[in-house]
Amino acid sequence: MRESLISEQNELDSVIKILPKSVFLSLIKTENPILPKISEIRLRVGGACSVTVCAENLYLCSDGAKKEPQNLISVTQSDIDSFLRDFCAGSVYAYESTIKNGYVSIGGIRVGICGAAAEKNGAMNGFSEITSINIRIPHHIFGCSDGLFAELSQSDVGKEGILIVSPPGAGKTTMLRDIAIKISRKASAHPPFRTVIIDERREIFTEKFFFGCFADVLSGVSKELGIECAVRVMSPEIIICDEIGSKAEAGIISDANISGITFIASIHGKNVHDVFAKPWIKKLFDDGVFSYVYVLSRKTDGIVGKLTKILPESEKNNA
Amino acid sequence: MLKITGIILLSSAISACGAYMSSKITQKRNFRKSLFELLIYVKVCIDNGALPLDRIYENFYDVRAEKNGFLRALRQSGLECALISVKDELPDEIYELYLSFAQSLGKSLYTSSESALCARYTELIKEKEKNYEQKEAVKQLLFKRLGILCGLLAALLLI
Repeated sequence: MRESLISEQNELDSVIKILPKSVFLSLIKTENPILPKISEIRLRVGGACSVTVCAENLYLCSDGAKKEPQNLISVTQSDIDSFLRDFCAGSVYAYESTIKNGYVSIGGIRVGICGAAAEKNGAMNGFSEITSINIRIPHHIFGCSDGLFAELSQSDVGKEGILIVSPPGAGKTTMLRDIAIKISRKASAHPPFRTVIIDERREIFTEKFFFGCFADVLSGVSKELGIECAVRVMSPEIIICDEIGSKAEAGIISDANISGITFIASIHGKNVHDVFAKPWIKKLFDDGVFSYVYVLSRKTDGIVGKLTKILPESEKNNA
Repeated sequence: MLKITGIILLSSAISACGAYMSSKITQKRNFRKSLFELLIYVKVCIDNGALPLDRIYENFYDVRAEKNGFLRALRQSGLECALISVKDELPDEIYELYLSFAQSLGKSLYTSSESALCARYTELIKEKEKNYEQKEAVKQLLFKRLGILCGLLAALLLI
């Protein structure tokens, strides 16, 4: 299953094949315009199974995905366990470290896990019972970063740090992936940059999209360790990472930036004010690590963003 | 002269049958050793790096397991199917133990549980193997000696 997920043209097809029977039957009865746009499939023991299509939640019913809860399908504990086993190619234990963090990610498909968590020494230590899963299907939107590159001045591409801000599910990871593909390839406006992607949850890098790119990936490792390793051994010009937020991560980014590395990262938030509410993130702007904020919002036909240049505190005072 | 040559050939053939039966037992025992090595290899790979099963099977190599098609079945369809394909080469008790192991393997969320499972089955199978080896040693000696005796008897009868 692992190998077939990576080589499958359509990730949705590869997941549908191993879903519980009731879910499979419901999905194949779903109308064609909806089916390819499914971004999430949620299975819940004792609850309603649903799919998310363009930010809208639909019930999984016996006759397909519907807006109204009629003839809802159900799944059992055994269905979810069986799906996870098939997803992990019969080796669930091999993903113990990520399961302890509540997810499994293979071939770009991330399965979020919920249930009765086991705790050890104050940290999550896996699950004694898994009662719901959220299967996130990646949909890459080629060219979604065109708007960003159009607004950036040519001299700033690859030189000035960009922080992408958006609420969950609005397309941060998709945007980062598209930026990584563009920036590590030769274009008329800029040369290819040596790019390292710190892919902690194995969601950004998909081999088939990065053909011809000067991109290296460090996956399944924390951002702190990944950045430190990348700086030491890969001499990157640009580092791309997803969902920064902690003080430790901000610290390591700041240190790496001193070496002349440009950062393109994402963070949860609705707007610039949300971002600046965290003093250690504001400090990154004051220190010049990031110069731009790109706030995303998801529309039915794609991702849109608004680019704002943020001057460091010192330049604001001089102005 | 011709008669004596014929008698020698016949008694040699009968003795060789005994040796052949003995060598079949050796072959089966050697294959069981390969299976046991696979079991230990699985445990080592799980303990060191928590490798997924398909990668473990891909990396494992044994000449004896390769010859009878077990390795091919293992890589294509997993341990359970591979064991079913070689059911005739294993004593029932040992086959049941390996099958039970294959059916339990890979289902836990924890590497430590999988490692403990491998350790438990290693002990159980080792115990069974010891008993079988003793019985098989006796059987092999019996086949060889019976072969030689029957060959000599045939020679005496024909002279």
